[in-house]
Amino acid sequence: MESFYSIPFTILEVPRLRLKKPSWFRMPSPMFVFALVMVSYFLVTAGIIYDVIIEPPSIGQTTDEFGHAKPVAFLPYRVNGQYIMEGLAASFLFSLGGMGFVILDKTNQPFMPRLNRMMLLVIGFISILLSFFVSRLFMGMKLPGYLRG
Amino acid sequence: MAASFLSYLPASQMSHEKKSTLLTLMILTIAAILSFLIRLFSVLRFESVIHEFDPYFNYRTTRFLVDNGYYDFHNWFDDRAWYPLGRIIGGTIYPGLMITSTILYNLLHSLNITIDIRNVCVFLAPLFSSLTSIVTYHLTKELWSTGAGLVAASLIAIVPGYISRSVAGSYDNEGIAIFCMLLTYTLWIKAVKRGSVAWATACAVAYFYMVSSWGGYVFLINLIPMHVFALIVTGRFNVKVYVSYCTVYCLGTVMSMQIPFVGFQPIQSSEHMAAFGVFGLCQIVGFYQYAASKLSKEELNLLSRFVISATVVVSLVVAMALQLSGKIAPWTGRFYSLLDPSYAKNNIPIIASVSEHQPTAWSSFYFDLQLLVFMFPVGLYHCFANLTTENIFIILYGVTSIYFAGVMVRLMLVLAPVMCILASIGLNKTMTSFMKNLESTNKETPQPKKRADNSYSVKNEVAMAVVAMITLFLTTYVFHCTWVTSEAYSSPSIVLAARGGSDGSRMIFDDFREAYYWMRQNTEEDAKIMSWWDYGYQITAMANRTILVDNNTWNNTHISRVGQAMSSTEDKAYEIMQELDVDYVLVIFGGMVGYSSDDINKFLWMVRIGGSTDRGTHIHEKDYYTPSGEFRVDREGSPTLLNCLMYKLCYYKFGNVYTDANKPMGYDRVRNVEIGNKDFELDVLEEAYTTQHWLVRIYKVKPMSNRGI
Repeated sequence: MESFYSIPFTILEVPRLRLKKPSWFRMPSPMFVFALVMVSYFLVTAGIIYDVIIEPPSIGQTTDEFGHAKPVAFLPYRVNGQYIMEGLAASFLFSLGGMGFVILDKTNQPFMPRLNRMMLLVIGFISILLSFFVSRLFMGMKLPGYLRG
Repeated sequence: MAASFLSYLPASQMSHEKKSTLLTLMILTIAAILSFLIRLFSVLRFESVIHEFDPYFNYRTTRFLVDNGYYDFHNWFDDRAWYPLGRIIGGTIYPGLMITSTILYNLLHSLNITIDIRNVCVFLAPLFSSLTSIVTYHLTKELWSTGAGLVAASLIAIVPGYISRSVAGSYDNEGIAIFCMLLTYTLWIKAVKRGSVAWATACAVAYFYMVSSWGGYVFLINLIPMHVFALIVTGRFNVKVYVSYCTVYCLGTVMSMQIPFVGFQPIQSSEHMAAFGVFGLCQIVGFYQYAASKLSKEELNLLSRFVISATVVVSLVVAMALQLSGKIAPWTGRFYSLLDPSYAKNNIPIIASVSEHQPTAWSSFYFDLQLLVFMFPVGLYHCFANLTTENIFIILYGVTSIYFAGVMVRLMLVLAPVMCILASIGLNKTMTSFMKNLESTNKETPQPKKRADNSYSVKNEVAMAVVAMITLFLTTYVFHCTWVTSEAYSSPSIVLAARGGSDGSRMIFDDFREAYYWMRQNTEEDAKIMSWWDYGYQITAMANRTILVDNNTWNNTHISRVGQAMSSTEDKAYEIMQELDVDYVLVIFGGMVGYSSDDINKFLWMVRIGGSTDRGTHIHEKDYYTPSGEFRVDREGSPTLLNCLMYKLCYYKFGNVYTDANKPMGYDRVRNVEIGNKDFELDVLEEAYTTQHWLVRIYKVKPMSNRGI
């Protein structure tokens, strides 16, 4: 069988290439891939595709009774519409809340210095509670009848 | 005291295993019942009626299948839609939904439970959502643990992203497609973990059911090969994966080609080529691993060089031949717009005009998922921290569906199950790791006097705080989901309700069904109706009349012709109506009651689509705007707009009515202006019927005059 496979190589000469896999090219670690996924999660939940296609303004504007232009942070009354800044702010909160839980998970390791553990706990709790309640607030500012029927 | 009370219950005498089985069964039963009940808001508020537009087509085809049997259904050519082209229904639908309903209907009737087919259709989606809850439990149990499975089943029972397309009355493909998709994934994971041909065959059968039910099966046939490819790249490819994938791909492809609508696409279109490519790659990798175990190093090198050069040459020649002869079709428009979101906006106005196809804003994510958007990264983190063959699958599913849901709001439906699964993994891991820290209050277990770790003195208190916090989050999730379902996703669209009148009581607007029944009883059997494509399915299902264009939107040129008729003046439109044999024209007008999804608001899309084909090149969108670029219907509006057919049909005799006591006559309550062109008569049409609240207006086309003036 080997003689059959070597037939093409009686005619063709294998070139003497010195190809080596570059040493800096390594399989990325799982946590590195997770970091990339988190960045893409941040961008997608910010509505970046909505921003690119619909091209909304960064923040909105209304005029009050004196004729001055007042900025508007949230595009009101529409669930599927946003300004660019509000999208980025909201997705920052989503990612912060998720990272808060990850930090909280790290506090269960044994034999950590007391200061580190306390700091991680405080940061973790604040991230989670802050992001959760501020997101509720944002949604209430966007939909004036939210949770009130 | 609580402990002594509990010891009297029979449950406390059971062994641990029996207790956990009882608990599992109870939780799954409650989740299934809950998922059915939460979808019944509109049935309780209105009645058991089919919602929206697309479900009416599915309902009509199901009725046909029940009355005429499968062979007539398979060969059905419908001459009452897309006049004069007709539509081959047997070959252009996914029959899974209709066949499921018919089987259920026949089963119930054979047991002498005579439920009307309409009620079977209305309640099918909630029934399948209960089954989805149970299947999600099994999937998550395979991926992580039983505890996570129970959390996932409870989360998916009430997640608004799934409820939006599966309320009672929303009789659409997605209602059963999500169940089929999760069933296929469960069986795939079972097959990959065990490497058994039996489970892989079951997965292929479930895949066949999925293909028969929804066009989104393309997602599955790309996700499963992507999973296999990821396993090859990370070095986890073994004989179990090989056996599972070969079985699933071969059997699944052959079975999927039995559906007439799919036909030969699995071996011809680009959307399926990835699966074929991975199939080939599997063979090569499997063979290489086998050869490496048997041959010596030099023999292996020689063999690899030969095989690689032969494969490269052959595949290049074959690929060039197929590409040049045009046998491999490129990606179709709908799926291509997922990869390049700006494609639809620039090239295909019909796809761009559907509101469900818009990209997603942050508030849609929060509105449809609430707590899950926070727990999704946590679940991903734990999956990455414990990488196994099955975790890689759920990671890929999560990442791809987040991207697709970001591109198109409608695909939030595909994201909702994986959000529930990953969130349940995150919640389960967090809860188990913190509940371990809670000190037991049971007096029988000996308390360790010394803590193993002196630096963590508040372990117990922190654990209690975390458990309380997660309980609070889950409670707010339930309140949010119930509110969203009740307010946003339970409207039948064919019946409108509002609070109005002098005493603020609830008013029901049943104009649509009023108009369709009038048409059913007062027009000729073979009358042809022209309307915009949104209402096509409802007209054929309820009024039983022939229509020109409907929601299938398969023929852009025909729709464009209707758009040209609506945008032109009366005489130009009359030529088009004579060409298409139109007898009646139907328009939706919301200016009397303030209904904002009427034809005047959709008018610019009619102009765009009408002007997009060669017979419509005289139609330019800018002619319908004012010189300053605004779309106005009052005196300042563009004269082209004020004299076109759609304007005249909507505002005929509207100039003589008062809509509001403080406003002049002819005040449009949607555009909030007084209309510009009030006193006009129609030359070639006459008003046939206007409903109670002026929502639907039907006009009869006058025949050509005898004397030719």
